[in-house]
Amino acid sequence: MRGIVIGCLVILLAGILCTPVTGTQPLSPNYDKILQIHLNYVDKLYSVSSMEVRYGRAPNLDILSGNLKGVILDSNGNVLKSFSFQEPGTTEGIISDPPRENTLIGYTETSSSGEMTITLPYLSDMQKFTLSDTGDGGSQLVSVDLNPPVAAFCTDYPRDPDCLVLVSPSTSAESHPDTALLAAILFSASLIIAIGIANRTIRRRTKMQTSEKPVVLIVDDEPDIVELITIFLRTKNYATLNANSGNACLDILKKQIPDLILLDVRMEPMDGWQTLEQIKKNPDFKSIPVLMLTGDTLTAQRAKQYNICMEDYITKPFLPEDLYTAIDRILMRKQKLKETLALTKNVGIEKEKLCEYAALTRRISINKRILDILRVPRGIPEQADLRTLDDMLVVDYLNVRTRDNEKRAEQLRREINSVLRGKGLPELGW
Amino acid sequence: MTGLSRTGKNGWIIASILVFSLTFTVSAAFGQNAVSVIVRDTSTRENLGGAQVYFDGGYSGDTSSTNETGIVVIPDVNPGAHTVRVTRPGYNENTTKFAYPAETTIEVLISKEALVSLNPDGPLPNAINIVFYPSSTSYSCINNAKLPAPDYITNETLFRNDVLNVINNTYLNLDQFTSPSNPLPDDYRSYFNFYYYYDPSSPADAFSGCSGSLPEGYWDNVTFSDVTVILYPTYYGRYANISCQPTGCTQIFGPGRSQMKAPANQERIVRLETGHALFGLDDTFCGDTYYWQNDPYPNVWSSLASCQTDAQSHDRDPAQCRQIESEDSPPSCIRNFWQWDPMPDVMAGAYGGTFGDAATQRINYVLSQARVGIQAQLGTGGPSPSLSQSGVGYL
Repeated sequence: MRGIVIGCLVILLAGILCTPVTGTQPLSPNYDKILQIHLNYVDKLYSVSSMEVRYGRAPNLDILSGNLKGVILDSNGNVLKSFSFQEPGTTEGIISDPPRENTLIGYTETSSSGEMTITLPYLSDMQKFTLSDTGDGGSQLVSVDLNPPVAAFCTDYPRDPDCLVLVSPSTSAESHPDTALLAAILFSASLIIAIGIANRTIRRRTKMQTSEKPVVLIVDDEPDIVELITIFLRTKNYATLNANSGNACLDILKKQIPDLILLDVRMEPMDGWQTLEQIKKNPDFKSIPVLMLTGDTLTAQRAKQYNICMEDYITKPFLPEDLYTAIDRILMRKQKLKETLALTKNVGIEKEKLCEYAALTRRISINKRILDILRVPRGIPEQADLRTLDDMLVVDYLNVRTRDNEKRAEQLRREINSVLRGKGLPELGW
Repeated sequence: MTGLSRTGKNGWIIASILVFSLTFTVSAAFGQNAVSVIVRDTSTRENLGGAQVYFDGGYSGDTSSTNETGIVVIPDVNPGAHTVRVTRPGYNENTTKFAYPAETTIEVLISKEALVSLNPDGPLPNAINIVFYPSSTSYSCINNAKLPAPDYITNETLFRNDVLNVINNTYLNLDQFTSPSNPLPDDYRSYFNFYYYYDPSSPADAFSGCSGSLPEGYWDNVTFSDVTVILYPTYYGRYANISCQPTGCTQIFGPGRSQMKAPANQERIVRLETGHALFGLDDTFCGDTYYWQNDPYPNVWSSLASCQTDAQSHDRDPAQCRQIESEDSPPSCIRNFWQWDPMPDVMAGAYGGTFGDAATQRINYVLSQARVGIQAQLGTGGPSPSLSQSGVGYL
């Protein structure tokens, strides 16, 4: 076994060395990025309407001042950046004063509602943004988790250096021509080691599906795919259950409730969508999160029909990192709700309110994922856009629902945080 | 694979490694799984050299360094959805999504950007970014009405000259309008990056809303602006009619979205609105305007005691602190805010004067903040005076 692995490594290195080099030394690649937080405000109440990380340059925050204070925190809660700026809605103008020659008088209008955008430089490990009003005793106006926009950006740009820092180095092969060789070697070596570990793990497989590990039920009629996903998940310390059909899946659920179901769409006789319907119809199973796994493109109609049933949608072929990210996101959400429920027991927050907040944040996250998938690639000729009016209506529908959900979630978050603050407890970080 | 899996897990693992290794070797040697990215100018459709291509966010090369100008080949592309981002100086960047292997040749069209840098040596990182935008409207003192003003949108040279004139007579001669007791840094002129944005097909409207309106998409293209100035041509008719005076206005919609409007021929108004939009100064006349104690280094205080304490700590005469009120007697207008700067003060009406000691102190504070950022970026003792210190460098 060892000899074969070494042999393979030699072949691999030979392949790497044979890789044709395209292009020359880069001309100062530009990776400047910004985070934009779009807010609505009504009577000094702020709610986040959307956030995005994108390429671009940031304004100079250090020259600003005002009553509003913005703070960017890292994963340890340390301040990465702090700045002040003026509240929006104030207009300072000058108009003529007819009764007095050569005199201009002021003109002001303070709009109590409108939109504001905060453009920030992208900073490594930025995790949280808070906005407070220093003129109002420092009351917190907004507190948002910055992970979702960063994750969304890294979905589109996984090889951006800042995204490579966030994921394993195995995806960094083409980021810098001068580091490509090293990255490729690291990639290959880590893959071989990972497979070796997986192999050992499989050989030692006895009773590892303990209740302490999250259990993932993999439903796919292709044994190779099931095998591969099993290896991936076990290297990340997940326990797995396998089913090769929709019916087999439902049979397993009668005996054991997993933490998550990975469900393939293309199966016979019962396909993934039909299986999903059956799962969600059953009150015992309906709370199990389901992640759809398919080689097919998600259509708008399917999205509308099933968006309330599924937690995420991954298209084959996929990188292990995509799978881990999606699973982690779902399980973390569940875990956070559990923790918050435990923390807030007996502090006067209704459980229903917290659960409604959790359900809304889950729905917002899923709808945004679906909208991302449905988004037509930019730059294609108009005639290549095969979306129908119905498709576009679905996208509009999802957009409107998401915005409504965001407004309600923000309102609930404020109410919950206000109670938590009063009790000296940490505020919701999700 | 199914057959292999039946022979045991070890066999499957070994086969996986072999398949992976051979696939990698073959693909590397023969350049399989490659995607060609062709970068072209939107209007001429010509291939463009000098464009940088990023695949899934990672740098892949530039279109000048390959055998064929305008093309970068990306090797070893995995099946699935990907993004190609293309940037080129002087062009708007473009990001295109594509699916491999359905698409193996990606054409990315990029168009010339409307943003023109006016700094002779190009923009300086972390400097203060002022962007001028032309208005296609002005005001008629004959009809007392807004009217279309094609001056700027049909004549870029005229707009550019007006912008340069404003820059030279306001931003670059700030030292002549600030207090000599708090002199500005010698190299303050080099703390600014000036640009203008010229897209005649989508001009601003200086007379829609108080500070005017910018076309949709401007803020998406210009994310870094510290102040955007909507410049509008001179009023039609004469200003002699006191009921028809030029106006200025500032509105702020969050960091990076400060906008002001001003007429090109009224430097005093540019100065006053810049006082609001860039330096965060308050008006010091008594009227219907927005007052707040604009810490740090305010030019307006919310109490007499604050004004006096501040004056003492900065070697100013506390006795000069006075309530903001109109000059008539008894004053028809009184506000619960206090000022120190003597008249004529730029922030008191835009009809002349200079920035007083307090206002100058705040201007110095903002400039010093910018200087810290520039120094941090350059890692040296400060910005090199690449711009003209006499203010004529922009002409």
